[in-house]
Amino acid sequence: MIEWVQQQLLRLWQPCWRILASPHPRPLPAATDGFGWVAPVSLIGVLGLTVVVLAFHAGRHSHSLAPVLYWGGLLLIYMPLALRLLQPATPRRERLIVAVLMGMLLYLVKVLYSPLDFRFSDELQHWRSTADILATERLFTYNYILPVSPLYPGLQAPTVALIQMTGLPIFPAGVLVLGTARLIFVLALFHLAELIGRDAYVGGVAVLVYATNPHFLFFHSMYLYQSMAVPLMLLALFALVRWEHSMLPEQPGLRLVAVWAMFGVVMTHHITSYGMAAVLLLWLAANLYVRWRGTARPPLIGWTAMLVLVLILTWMVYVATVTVGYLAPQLGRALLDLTGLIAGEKKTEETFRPPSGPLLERLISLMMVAATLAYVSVAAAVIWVRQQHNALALAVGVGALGYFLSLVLRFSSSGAEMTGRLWTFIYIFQAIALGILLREAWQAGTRRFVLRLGSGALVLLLFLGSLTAGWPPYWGRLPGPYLVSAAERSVTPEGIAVGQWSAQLGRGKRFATDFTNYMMVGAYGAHDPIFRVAGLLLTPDMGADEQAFVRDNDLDFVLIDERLSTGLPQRGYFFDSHEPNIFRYTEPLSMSLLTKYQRTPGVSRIYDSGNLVMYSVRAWSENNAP
Amino acid sequence: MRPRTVPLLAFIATMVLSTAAAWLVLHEPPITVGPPVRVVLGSLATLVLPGYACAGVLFGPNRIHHAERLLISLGLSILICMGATFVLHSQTGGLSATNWARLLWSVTAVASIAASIRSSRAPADGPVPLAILPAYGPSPSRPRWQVGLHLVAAVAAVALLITTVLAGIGSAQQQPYPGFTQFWLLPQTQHNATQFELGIGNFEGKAYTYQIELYHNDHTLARWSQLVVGDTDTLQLPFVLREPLGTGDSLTAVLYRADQPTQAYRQVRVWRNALQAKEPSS
Repeated sequence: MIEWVQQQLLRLWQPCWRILASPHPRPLPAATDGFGWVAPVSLIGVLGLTVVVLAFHAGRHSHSLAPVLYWGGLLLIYMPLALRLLQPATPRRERLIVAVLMGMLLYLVKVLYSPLDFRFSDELQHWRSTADILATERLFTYNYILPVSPLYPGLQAPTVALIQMTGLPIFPAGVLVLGTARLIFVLALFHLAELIGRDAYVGGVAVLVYATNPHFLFFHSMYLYQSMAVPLMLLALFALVRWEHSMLPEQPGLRLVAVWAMFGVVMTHHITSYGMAAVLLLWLAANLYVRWRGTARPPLIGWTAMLVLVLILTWMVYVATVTVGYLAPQLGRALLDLTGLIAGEKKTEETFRPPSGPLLERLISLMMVAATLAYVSVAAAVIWVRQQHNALALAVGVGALGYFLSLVLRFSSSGAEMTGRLWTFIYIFQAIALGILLREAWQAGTRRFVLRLGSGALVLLLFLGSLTAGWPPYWGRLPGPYLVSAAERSVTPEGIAVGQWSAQLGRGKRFATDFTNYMMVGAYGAHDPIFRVAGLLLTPDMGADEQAFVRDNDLDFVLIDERLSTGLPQRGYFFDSHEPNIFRYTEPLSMSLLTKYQRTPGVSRIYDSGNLVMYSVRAWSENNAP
Repeated sequence: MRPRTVPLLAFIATMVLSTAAAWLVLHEPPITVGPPVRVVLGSLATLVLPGYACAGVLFGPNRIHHAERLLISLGLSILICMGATFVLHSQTGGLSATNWARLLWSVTAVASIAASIRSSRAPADGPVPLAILPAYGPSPSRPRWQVGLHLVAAVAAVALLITTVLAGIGSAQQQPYPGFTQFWLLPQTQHNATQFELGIGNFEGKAYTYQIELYHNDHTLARWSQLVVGDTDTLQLPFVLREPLGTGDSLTAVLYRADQPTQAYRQVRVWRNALQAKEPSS
């Protein structure tokens, strides 16, 4: 058996060795610059979007065919476009248009999931910042539900400008702004990868591989600061790389674009700015290595790395001082978990939460991770051997290996979030690295049949894996009826209405409520809801302890969703992630627990819309009522 | 592949469109224009034109390819908005519509003029800017019938895309949700403990007739019947008590729907100091 496995591995390794050892790379099929098959392929892609919309419609009406239509529609969007991008003979113009089409069609999938309002919790946090700027006509307002958001107003700036110039509400303005950001993202990634790989083929493959990032389909399309910052980061990198290869007349312009875009990233999103600094430092190190080897004399870009660091620190010191307090706990917890695991002080089951969902989906996710590890390893080796003169390609190869680091982080308690954040940057390297690898494979004379089939199967697996491992999870992939504690699937018109109604209570009231309505009153009502509410909302009665809780937390209102008694929480908790029984609930909350307030004299029941009931608790807690 | 000269006309068009967009924000238009016109012009004037004009200043004709120009134009437009927020934030008018219109128009106009001058002075045909990329030859010509078929496919794709987006919006608008009625009872002011307001918000999907019964402790205080509230409409009923609620007193309001007159549909109850709170922050 072992012998057989060894033989198979050896057979698999032979094509890789051929790529590494090929002394005289053959040119790819003659490249042209026409429109090629762009029109028919676009028609198929749009047809895929139509099928996805049908799936959403079926989901809204709880039709059993919805999941089949959803998967089929997404594959119809992705695969024909991917197959055109994987062909070396595809004309450059067609390649560029197809890459843009892929980015925009996948963006429309997210938009049409919820085409009337923002439903994802992160989006509502940034909605509040935008609404505050519109209300006050000033920057740096205080956003209680995400205090760090107003300190990075790069997303809000173009949105507010668009709203003021067009008269549009926040939602459509946000969709347009993010559509523009997505277009910038795709164009910048294509051109950046094309310059690094010195071939439009690499540009096209980079876009299609980045689309397999589990966060690309939804998270990177959401109205949040990272969705704006990452395209600007790519624009800055593109301008820098383009500057490196340009002649004198356009160099000042490119330098200005690069510096301006870097400043834009710094004022838009903290983590993206740190990621950009890391990318620049890696690039600088690669440049130094290539110079040391004497294979080329790439310009040193130390000034840009230094400039970014200065900008980041200046912004943190003068504007966003709370950033450290916001990020440090997560990072610190992850490091503590990992050192604890290494030292044997902690067990894996204490920190690592395995992925949930149907068995087949988990299997696909695992296969996706295995395939990624394999291609990243081979690509890094190929780039190291064959691109010694190309500092940028070397940086890409080393950066792609960061995938291993991201998987290690997955074992910490905040691993899923940290890994997701890291993938935003690592996938840029991975995408370009796979592009270079496939290009080298074509040039090494690997059998066409093997390459076509292999690369097609690989991107299919990566795309399926991105859907199974990404957000939303299986229960929220399609819009549909209300689900208990299910993020966007818990947002209903009744919830939005209570948020909007609560605005008449005056801004900044303190609420205790569940996770979904936290966002409703925080965003639409401009209130200051609190987390860690188990001490009030999960106790059976209203007594002295609860009174003290209300007083200590300066609470005004409790908003109860009586639907929490109808099912188990999809996210593992009812109110917030600090609950004692998180992920261990075996039955829904009892109705008696949810209605204890109306049995308490002095607690006023001021609002009732059937499922949602609002109680006023301040006077009761201070013994001023009854 | 050589980039073509950026025509001077494009910068003139940029100025005209930007001026029209700013005019719609700053003044009453001389002719009636619908909101879609303002949306289209405003979107261009915010997300495309400022960056396009600035790209024209930074890069003369022939220096960058069309796709690169598009990328830089969009990127610069976003970045101009980011820079502009700080300028407007520090001014007395703040981030108001008039300030945005003036600033974006100024940037676009100045940059368009500068770009026009630069493009008129540029040589007619410059060198190919990037030598590291392979040269692409022209595609082999196609038979006319195939060109026609591709054109039909392109038109069909655009038509299908528009239809799909509209259908997606329509589907979300028609998503079946259980209807609901909001019912509330609030003291009208915190300072006057005798003034209250009852409210109904109807989101049931059709007009309904309601009835309200108001109790002071267990005694019926008032009754409102035949309250017709249209779909998505609200109804407020202010009322005044003779004296403030005392210790142990409560006001209870019960809402009935006319089609189920014996079944309490919604219920609210307030005790004294129901909205005791800090003053609203704004």
